[in-house]
Amino acid sequence: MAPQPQHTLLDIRNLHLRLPSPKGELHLLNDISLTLERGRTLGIVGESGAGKSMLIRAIMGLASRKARISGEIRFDGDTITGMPEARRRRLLGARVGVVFQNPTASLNAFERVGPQVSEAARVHRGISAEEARELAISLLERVGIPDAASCHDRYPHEFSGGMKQRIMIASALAIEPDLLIADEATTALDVTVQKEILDLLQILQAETGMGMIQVTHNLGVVAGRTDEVAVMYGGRLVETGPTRAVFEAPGHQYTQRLIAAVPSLQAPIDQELVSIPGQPPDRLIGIRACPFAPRCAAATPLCSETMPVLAPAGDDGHKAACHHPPRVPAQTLEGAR
Amino acid sequence: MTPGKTHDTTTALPPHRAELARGWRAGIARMRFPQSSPLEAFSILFLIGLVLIAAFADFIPGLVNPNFPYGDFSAPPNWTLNGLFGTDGLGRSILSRVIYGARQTLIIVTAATVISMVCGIFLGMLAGYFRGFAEHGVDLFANTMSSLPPVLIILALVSVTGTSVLTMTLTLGILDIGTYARITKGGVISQNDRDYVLAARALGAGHGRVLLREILPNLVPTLTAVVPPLMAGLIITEGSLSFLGFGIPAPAPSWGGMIAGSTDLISRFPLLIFGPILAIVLTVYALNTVGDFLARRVDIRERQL
Repeated sequence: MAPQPQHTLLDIRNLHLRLPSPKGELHLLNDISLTLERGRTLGIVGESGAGKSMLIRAIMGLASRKARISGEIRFDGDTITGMPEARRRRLLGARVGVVFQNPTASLNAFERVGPQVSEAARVHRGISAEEARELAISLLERVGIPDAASCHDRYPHEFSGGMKQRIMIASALAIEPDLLIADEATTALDVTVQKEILDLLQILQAETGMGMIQVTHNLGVVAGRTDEVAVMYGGRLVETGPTRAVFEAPGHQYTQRLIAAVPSLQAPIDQELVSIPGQPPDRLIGIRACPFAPRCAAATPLCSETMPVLAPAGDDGHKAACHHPPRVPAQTLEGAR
Repeated sequence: MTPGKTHDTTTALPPHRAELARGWRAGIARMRFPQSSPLEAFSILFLIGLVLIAAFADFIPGLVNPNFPYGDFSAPPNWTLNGLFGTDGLGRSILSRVIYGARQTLIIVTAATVISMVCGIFLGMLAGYFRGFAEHGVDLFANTMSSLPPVLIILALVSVTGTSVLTMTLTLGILDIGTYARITKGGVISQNDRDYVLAARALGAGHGRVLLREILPNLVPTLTAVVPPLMAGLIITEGSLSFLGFGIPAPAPSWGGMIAGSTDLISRFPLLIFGPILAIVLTVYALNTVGDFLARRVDIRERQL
């Protein structure tokens, strides 16, 4: 893929994040480099504690004040790392929408739904009360809330979880974002509602042409709905590339095991679920080896001695950081979708 | 897929009637004091009644002026309006003095509460949101205030400024600033990590907006629950000060002053002390009960969220 800087929406280069803790410094993000083109969808996958949410917080400037961040994040050409907080807030707040995991916790329980939906537009555009009301109602309609006009003045507790997530999406859309970040947006919802919300996000993306980042630990979410995927492990990027290529021929042992661990409805009923034994690495120490080596079946002494770097693992920018890339194609995801 | 239970019934009505129905329903729900025990309902009604009587004392037919003798001195209670609690050592109606004393006490205590809430919430929000130096300063202030006996602080202040209703209100107002600051600080710290605050910051809300528009409304239930017991404490302190002679200057009626005035005669006329003591005990009891009721409601809400 030839680099086309004028179309690059988000460009992350060598991002490191260190957080001081009583036990020592935590290495939460290590050397992350990612790009997202305008209008494309990037899936970020990894198990809990892999650093997915921390990456989003680092992008949005929501990381703890104590965190030490190095590297560069560029949003649409502007370098946002090291930018004064107020300026960064104005820039990102006006152009990036974020939908968080738990819709019940993400809505302010003591504020009516309508004003919460239009809040970003009121903050960044200074629209009048009537305009805000109209905007909120039209957004609520757009995300599929029935009888949006009467919902405007209700409180969040009057809605179900799926409806609340729709409201969160509506509020993220209020500023017509160039980038929508869904941070595990469907994790707290049941499966049928998950599908509705994912479909809604896809439709909205097609309508608006915004870029989207789907953060998830659910491979099924990523498989059919993203253009690119980035696999994170232990605060590191272990594999990145076009979604199809990554799923068909994973270039990293971890990715392969992750795909193999997806339960399939076609599997015999008495077949044991596949899991990856062991725990994610301790992030206190900056490790000099492959972070997955202690849990990896294919690990050799080489893996615990030198750190593998992201190297081409296929066409179209498919890269993986593995000394022993898997040869056998992973099982397809058809059953999990 | 309908978003809420109330949805179906109200949309069946034309818009203006739906609006009306929702307004009424909310009003009625508020009147019922949901899940209050009989004692709690009594306490709420007692306080409402006390405020109304104190506010409209001038319009109660037949109630005599509290500062002028009305009949025989130290008369025992009888079944007339002014003689319900008897008369004091100067022949003034004790009931009338209790009622006008209530007005004085309520005004002072409410004003003092407003002062300490405003200052306390402001300091608490700074401490809880920005932490660091602000937090240390507020903690030091709150701990110092709570380690000194309140009456001692007030005596020191009043001996400098002299006794008047204004200085009394201001000094009482200073007492609880630390308590409100500490509660607000804790609330801000616990709310600050929640997703809705994160969401607000992600959409670009500044510190002021996050604190005032997002966090503060979420602290209202917690703060509401601590106001009545703290007000009860102020009533007791105010009573003690008046009893010691450092409170509301005579001849204005005050509950503590009435108790002080009747102690000389208590061996011969024990009923003199009955009126003001009953007023203090009932009011303080009612305020604490209402505080418990509100705290329980907050607890239920928190668990539902």
